[in-house]
Amino acid sequence: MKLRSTERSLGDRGRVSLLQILIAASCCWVSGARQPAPIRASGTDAVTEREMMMNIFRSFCTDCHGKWKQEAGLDLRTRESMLAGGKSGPALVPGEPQKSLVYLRVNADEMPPRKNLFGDENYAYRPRADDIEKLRAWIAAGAATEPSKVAREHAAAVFPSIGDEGRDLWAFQLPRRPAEPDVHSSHQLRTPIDAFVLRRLESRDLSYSAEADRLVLMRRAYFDLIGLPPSPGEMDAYLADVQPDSYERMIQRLLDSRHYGERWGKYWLDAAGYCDTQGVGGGRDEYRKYIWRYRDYVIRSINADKPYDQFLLEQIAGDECVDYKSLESLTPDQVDKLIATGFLRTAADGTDERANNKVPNRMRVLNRQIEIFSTAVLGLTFECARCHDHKFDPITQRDYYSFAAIFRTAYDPYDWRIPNVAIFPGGISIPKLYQRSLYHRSITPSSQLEEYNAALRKTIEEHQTVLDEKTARFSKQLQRERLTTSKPTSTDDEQPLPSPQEKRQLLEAIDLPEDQRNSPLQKLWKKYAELLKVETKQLEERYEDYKKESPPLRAKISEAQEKLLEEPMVHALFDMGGEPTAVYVLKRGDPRVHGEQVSAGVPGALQQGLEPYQVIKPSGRTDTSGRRLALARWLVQPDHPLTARVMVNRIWQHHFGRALVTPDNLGSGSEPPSHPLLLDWLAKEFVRQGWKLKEMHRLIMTSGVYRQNSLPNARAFQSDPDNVLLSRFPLRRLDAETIRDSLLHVSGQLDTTPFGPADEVEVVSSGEVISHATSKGFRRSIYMMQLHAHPLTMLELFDAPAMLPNCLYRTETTVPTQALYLWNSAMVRNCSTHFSEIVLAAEPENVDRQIELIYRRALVRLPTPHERQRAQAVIADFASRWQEFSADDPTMAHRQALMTFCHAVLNSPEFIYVD
Amino acid sequence: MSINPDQERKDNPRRELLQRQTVRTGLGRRDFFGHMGNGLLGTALAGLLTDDLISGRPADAAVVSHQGLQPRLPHVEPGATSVIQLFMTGGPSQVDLFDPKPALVKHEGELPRAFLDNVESVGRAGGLLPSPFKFTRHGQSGMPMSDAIPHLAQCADDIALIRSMWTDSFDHLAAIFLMHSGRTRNLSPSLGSWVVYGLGSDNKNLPAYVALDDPHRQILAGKSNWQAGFLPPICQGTRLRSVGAPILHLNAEKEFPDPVLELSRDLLATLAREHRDARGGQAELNARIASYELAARMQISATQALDISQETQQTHDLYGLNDKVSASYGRRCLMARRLIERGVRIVQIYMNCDPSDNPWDHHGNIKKELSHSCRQTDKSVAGLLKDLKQRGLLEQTLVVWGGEFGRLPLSQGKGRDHGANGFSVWLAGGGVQGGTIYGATDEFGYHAVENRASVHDLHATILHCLGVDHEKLVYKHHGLEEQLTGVDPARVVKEILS
Repeated sequence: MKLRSTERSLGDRGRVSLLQILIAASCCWVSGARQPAPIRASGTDAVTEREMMMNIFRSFCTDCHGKWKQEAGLDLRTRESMLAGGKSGPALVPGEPQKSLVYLRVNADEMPPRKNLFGDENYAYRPRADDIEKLRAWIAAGAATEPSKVAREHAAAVFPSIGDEGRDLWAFQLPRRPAEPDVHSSHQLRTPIDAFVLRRLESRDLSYSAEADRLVLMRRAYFDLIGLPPSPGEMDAYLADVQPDSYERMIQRLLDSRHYGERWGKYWLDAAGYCDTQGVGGGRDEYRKYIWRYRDYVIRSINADKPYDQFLLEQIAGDECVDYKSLESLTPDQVDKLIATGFLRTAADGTDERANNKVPNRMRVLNRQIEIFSTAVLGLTFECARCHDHKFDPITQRDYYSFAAIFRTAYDPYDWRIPNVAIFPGGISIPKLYQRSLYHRSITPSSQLEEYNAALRKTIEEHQTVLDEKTARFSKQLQRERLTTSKPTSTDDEQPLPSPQEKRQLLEAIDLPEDQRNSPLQKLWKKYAELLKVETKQLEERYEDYKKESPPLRAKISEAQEKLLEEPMVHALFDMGGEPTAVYVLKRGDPRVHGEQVSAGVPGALQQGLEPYQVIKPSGRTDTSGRRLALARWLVQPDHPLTARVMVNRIWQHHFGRALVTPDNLGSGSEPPSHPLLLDWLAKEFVRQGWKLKEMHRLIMTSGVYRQNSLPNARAFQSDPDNVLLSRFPLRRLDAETIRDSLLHVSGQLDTTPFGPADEVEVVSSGEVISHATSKGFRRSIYMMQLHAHPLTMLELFDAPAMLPNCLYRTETTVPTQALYLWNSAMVRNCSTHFSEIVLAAEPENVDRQIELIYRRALVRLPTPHERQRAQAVIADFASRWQEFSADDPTMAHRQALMTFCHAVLNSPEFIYVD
Repeated sequence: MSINPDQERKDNPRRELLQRQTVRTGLGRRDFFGHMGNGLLGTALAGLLTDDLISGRPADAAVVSHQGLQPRLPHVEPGATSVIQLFMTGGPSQVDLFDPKPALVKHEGELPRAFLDNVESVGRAGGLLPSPFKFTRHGQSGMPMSDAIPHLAQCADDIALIRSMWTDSFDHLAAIFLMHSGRTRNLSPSLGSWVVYGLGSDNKNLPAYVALDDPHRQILAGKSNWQAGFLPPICQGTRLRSVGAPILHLNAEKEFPDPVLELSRDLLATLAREHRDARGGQAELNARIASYELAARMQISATQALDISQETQQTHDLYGLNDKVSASYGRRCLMARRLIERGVRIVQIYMNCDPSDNPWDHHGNIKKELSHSCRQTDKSVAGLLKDLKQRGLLEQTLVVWGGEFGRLPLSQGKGRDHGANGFSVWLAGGGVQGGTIYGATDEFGYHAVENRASVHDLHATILHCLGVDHEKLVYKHHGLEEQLTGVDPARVVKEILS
């Protein structure tokens, strides 16, 4: 009978051969005169075998006999430490498996223990039979290991792995500032951007459309920069401003608005894969208690126009810039640097569950994080290179693993921390040593958190008071019952029962608070304490009401208690410290099959003309490798071919709805950029301006290309149907968050309180996920709790993405469920009511002015005379139709008419599209 | 304009015959834009809906457009045009249903050494446990089935049984993800969303991809089972509730009075049309208006499609609606038939979450628990097959039955633990050769040894039945050409096809 493992490995071997051919083929591709000397001169197979041997120890043993813990005094990380052994003597006797404890214990199934750190009987992560056999054979053969190698950190010297052909890829060339091209219609040039765009248009005999109407531009700019429409007051002020630079000043006001960071922060959070829960799937979707600090950090940084190079550096290696272990107290700026590393903690991580805390699971967390990083920052996909050399881009499998090695000192599968949620059902508490959150005592509570906790404490107190009152009432009742029903005929001497006299006294005492009982009474009470003692369980058994009412109260109390947040925790990434474990190329991406060892480094093809990736270990008590800091420094070089290009591409994308080149793939697998020269010019300009986002917004938004109207014309439609060349401004539908925020803003229900722990959402019985109002309304969508498993229904319907593992561009759909939502949902109906109430309050008398206000608030324009006239008629018609349902109250009918009118306006396409 | 049954039939000629059999009621009160007297929205749309949406692109060039899911041509002549996936969450035991193993009786209580080294849950597994159920041969094909499933046994000649399935994980979630999406991790697109991505929709009034689960509680993995993952969100399955309103927001909680509603719709239609006309007829704005219209149609169609009161008593009995134990699952099976009839591409049906969210997870007592699960489903599943057959729908509908894995032939008390190395699934209907048995497990039913079939093989076979080549159905995501069947080679199990 053949069994699974043999069968599987046979099958695997079949696949290997195919893949080996592929790998061999790609090796030919990268080989050449520049092929580096291999790290090891000979005997690769034997070496690999020995390394794999150590891997068995790392997989099964070193959690308890390793770097942080040496149970029974034993350390199984090296041959030497095995020979030294622990309390029971040497663990290893080379050549004699039957005398080697390490073999005997494993073979007898005593080790690893069933109840090991992250496992229990069901999920004991046990060596397979063939692993044990290998262990025996290895010891029998003398237990040889490789001398430990300190891999060189200087990647450039080790990996010039890509031939020149790899460098042909445009995105890997250093950007050069192109000269502004000449154009015919020079009168349309407002900024250098226009020269590049017009040049492309003129090559197709096209040009710009006319400039958009002032209010159209205003609405566009508001949605673009802050994600909310202007208020009627702002609209009036802008129309009254007749200075020539009124537009530029409006842009400046928007860039200064604190809502700007909420709008543009969201784009970054999407790229970073931000989510308030772990998202490991199934029934599990644990809350990441402290990640909101990272969200707030992003919003604050963007509002402050933190230069992008600094912004990146903090997020990649903020912890390596602050010697936080030496410092007694940290400045807010230093705390921010720790919080910023939350950027590297967004990948789904389910390793807090025993079954998902094996080496492959841990590696998957790192793989996902690298995927997020490479697409968001480098605009490249590395994921294919995890199993084989990249088919399209000059990224080798070795590049992948040396890039992974940069993060391995923090995400070490053989020295692992679990995410900060403790969900062990058995109530096993997790020692701090194994948690991933960072703690620092100098992190002071924020006012938002104080408020958040205060609200919870209030809830707890309220419920507790009710519960205590109930418990007291029923306890007294039970005590009375016991006293009145007990008969003094008991034969049980140890439990004497009160005499009638005593009974009377005790019955009176029940209603007296303890401190008001006189001392004989207290003595008496003590005497019958056993009889009078009441337990919750007894109350529940005796009283149906109590049984029904108390558990929900208790549940609410403990639920609120669980939500209380400990302040000084940061959802951060940091190095484990100590000697990092070696990193190997994993053949076919399989953690069990090691290839050659690699050191931390960046892709070979990305090194020409750049300062090399160079690791300098930071001094100080905080033991950190400096690998990520080296990466950050390497990335923010002014000439880096990808860093600035990727970011200006993203900025362009969110202004025009289409990027200049596929945002998540600047590699050869993508379409070439629509405006390659413009992309490079913008990238150089971005760096020249000091990596400032706001400068780029100003530049783009004051360009002619941005100020066009969005009306299609037939000729442009013929030669450029998709408007790739931008002969008009693209008409765009608002994204999910902006629709929700605008609905709330227009109806006066938006609570603009920023920051703090995310607002909870609720899954109601219909399956809809809804948000709840605060005392001041509903907060902006960015502050809603973003659950992997249960996104807010409204946002999901309008294409808010799932983080898989992040999102660089959204798919936009136009589906009937959106129409059903806008038309039927309680949320939009409520908004309509509030909207009409606001209008009525502001303009109680004049219907025409009511109509005007509705148009101004919702659509940022005045109604045309025809629209005014029709609205008058429709509202009157509505009123008459409502009349028969309004108990003959004409005021009520008009209110309802106005509400219905507002409802139609909020449903209209004009409300959710921007010209 | 009003929704006209003839119009709908014309849009969908393949279903002409079927539609005639459906009893149609008059229009409901809440037909949204449907009964607008002056046709403000309607005029522009009639053309858009009937002509533009049928583009006939082949599936490998699939483009999911703004408008949604245009029907697309398959790669090859398909056996089936729709799928009903009967997912048996928890892992039904193969040796108690489809894969008789007399050797278990002979070796009862023994624990072969080979098991010790390889069974991952051996910590709590006991010796070999014979099936408490009796097997007999059925139909002309003589397919053995146990007495736990007497109704399905009557359909033996319609089903093709694969006895040699194996999967990667003995963990429920990982195995459920794999069986649904070809990946052991969450957040990957489900089989159904790949099918919809590849073939689009034949019905403009209903979601192309429907999940019918216990309306009261979510099954294990919940909506992950019908997610679109990185595919366009429109490919995601829609959970239709088999009680109450089938879709969220199908109706307002408190609706405007009729005369107000009517005027409201007219007003919105006018606003939408003026907005579009002022912007030179951009396609996106047409699509937006079309989505309003679709919403209106869905309001009627979804309600009608799930209204099983239109079915005869005889049909109700056929699906086991007259028995309290099988009624809930039977209702969903009957709804699935009505949805398939209307051109829904894929329907996934899940078990009741009673007693647990993985109902076939029979650790405790295989005789008692498996009997109960069978009583809940057997009559309804067989009823579905019989009903599809008598209506001529079976030849264009692929029915797939199976769980995420099977169970061990070993005992775990009176129950059985998970078994991932060998288990059974069956297929019936379009493109499948009924009465076939493919593959075999070892003498104890533990390990698939002959003609092993992977989950990817099963997926490739399902796609093949729909006329889709699994190698060609690709989607570019983060620079990778993703496909349902992953990177390892998958094989269509041609031996079970007609």
